Amino acid sequence: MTSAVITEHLTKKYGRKTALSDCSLDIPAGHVVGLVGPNGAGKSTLLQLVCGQLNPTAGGLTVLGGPPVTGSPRIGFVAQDTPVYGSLSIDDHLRFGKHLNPSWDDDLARERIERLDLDPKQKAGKLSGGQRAQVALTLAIAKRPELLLLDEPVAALDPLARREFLQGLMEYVAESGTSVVMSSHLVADLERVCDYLIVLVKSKVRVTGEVEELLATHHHVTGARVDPEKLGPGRTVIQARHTDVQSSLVVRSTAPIDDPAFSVAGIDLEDLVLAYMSEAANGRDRVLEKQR
Amino acid sequence: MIWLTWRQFRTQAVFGLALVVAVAAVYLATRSTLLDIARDTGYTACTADCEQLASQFVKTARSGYLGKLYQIAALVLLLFPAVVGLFWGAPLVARELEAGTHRLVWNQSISRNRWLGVKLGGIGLATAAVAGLASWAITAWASPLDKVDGWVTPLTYAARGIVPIGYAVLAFVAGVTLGMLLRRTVMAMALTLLVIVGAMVGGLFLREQLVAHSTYQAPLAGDWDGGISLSPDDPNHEIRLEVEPPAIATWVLDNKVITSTGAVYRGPYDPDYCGPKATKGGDGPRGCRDWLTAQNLHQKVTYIGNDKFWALQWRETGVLLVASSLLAIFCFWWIRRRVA
Amino acid sequence: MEWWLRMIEFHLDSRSGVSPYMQLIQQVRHALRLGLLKEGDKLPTVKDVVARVAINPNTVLKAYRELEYEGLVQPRPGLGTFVTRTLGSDEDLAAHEPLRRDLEGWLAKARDAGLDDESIEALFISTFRRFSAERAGRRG
Repeated sequence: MTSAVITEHLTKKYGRKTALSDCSLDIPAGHVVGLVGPNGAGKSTLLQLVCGQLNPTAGGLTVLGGPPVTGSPRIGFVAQDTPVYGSLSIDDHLRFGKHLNPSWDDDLARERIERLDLDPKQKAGKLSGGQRAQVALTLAIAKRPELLLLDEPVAALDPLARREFLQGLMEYVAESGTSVVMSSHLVADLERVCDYLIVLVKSKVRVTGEVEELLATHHHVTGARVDPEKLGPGRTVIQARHTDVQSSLVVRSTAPIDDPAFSVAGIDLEDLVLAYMSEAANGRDRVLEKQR
Repeated sequence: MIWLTWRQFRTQAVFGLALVVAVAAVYLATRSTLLDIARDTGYTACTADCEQLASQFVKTARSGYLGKLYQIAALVLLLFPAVVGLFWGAPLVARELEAGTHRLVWNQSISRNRWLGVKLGGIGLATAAVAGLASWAITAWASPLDKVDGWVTPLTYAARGIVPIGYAVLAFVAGVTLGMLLRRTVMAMALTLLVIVGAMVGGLFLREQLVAHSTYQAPLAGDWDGGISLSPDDPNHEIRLEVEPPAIATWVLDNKVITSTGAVYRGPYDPDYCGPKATKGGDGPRGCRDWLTAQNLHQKVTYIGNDKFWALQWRETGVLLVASSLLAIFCFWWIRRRVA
Repeated sequence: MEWWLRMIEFHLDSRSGVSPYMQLIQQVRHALRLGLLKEGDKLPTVKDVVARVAINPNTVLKAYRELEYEGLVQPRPGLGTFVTRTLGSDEDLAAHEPLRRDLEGWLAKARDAGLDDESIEALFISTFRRFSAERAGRRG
């Protein structure tokens, strides 16, 4: 399968602050990729590097087989908070979209606006957050991009608007097969729509892979208090919580865990992501635990 | 991009153009009245020794509403750059950065260079055109008056010809640059105002360096016009002469009275002719004047005359446009490197 | 001429713990079993499904492929995916009615015994699971 984005030791610093550190990824094309992590983890930075708005401090990246360039007709980008020109009407937005993009699909754009029940004459500044996001999405997809990047598109929306936005996005993906990379700090949004996941915490990539595979290889393990080290080879403890008598672990393992001492259960995407996030947050605790 | 720039700029453009067209209309409409006054005072028909008629014409013209218009004209052209910098320049990029819409437009199939190029180039040209129109109307209107008063006196000069274009363009580009650096419209507007005032005041002082100065030197004539100042108690008998510059010296840079050796004349005076105890040479200052005239003194004036007007205009405008271009180049560099 | 309107609508329960892919398959099977879908009926297009439930299109494709693999549906290029087989014969469907009546009787009895909805559900599910496990054990 071809890659939509390849990054090699990609690093971005703002002054002394590291926004993204040694990030190596290979994002396959044809997926809806969820880029998950807490606020300030480097999600926006990664997306802006991919669309060429930022230049890396170190490392390299290849986007759709070439170096990233701003203003590429092959990449659509919906920026955080879905900015639009408040004083321009929706129709004005579609007109400048048509003027600025050689690959512009005007029928698609106008049809979408009509289906969303939006009045083209309305000023964009008077739209609700959900409607504004839909206009921004329309502008991005009417370019007919090969890669669509979305930076926290639904974070500020109410649940209904969020659902409607994702419906529209998925409809377009179904029709066009566009690769999508979408960042969010809300895992629940991504659970249905993403089939590939990147977890970014504190400027580092924690885990990446196809959602299905991640779900199949991660397990909730509970049992009498155990030393995580004794689980056996090929098993990584992502998260461990202990009481005096019981241990509750999130374990990554390709082989099934059939030790009768443990009770093993599947894990949902949200718990999986949270386990990786808390792993990063509690890194020091885990070291201490190992020394005990 | 041109369409979008126009669509975004439309309101300000229409407003600015309307204002300038109104200004131009007022001045073009009242020009005939001004010419009538010139004719009625006999100044137009005069061919020789017209100084009296000229000052009569200027006095009459400046007394009515035309005088107000004359003052407003200078105000309009001196304020125009500030207005352009504040309302056209500063918000141009700052507002996009503030609202995040640069992220929207930069993700259309367009490079940042083109985006900025169309904005800077298009609106920069509009600025130049509008400033040129206003300046042309006012320069044409005021030309009969300026002919009498001179074109190169510092304040009149900056509100005539093509220099207003240079200041307006510089103000516009400076506003854009500051908006880009500060990313805040209001802050950029405030700082732009400071920069423009600074540039114009700086221009006032640096302007005289742009052309070679003319020199007028002549022996003090018998009927020289001017003032004398001396201190009667001064044992050194020092005296100072202030001689009126000749009409050709429109913008006087230096005006002194020198001796035959070239040194500035400071006396000593002869207390018999000058001062309160003077006894010779007749009554009052008359005797002192005659005595001074007989001292073989010269008046030396360094000045910039009306003949240098266009050379100065072109050079100053050139400097301003070069500064604007440098700022614009900086903008292109900055937007590629430093703005995300 | 109403047969072509007979199309199911999917819904997803994000708290069920069942993957979206499995939920789609279960809903088609369920519809086939209850006779809501019959041979020749068309499944909603992938685009319709994702536009309705905001789900990854690959998930829908995968579910449809699984159904195809089970021999329940068949894609016809350019037309859509069509049901090729029903689950359970007409006799099965005929048997539904008396069984439902039995169950209703049982539910009435449980309510009379003072059980609330949750208890009834728990009792039914635990009994059903034990019953299924015993059957499977006997078979195996």
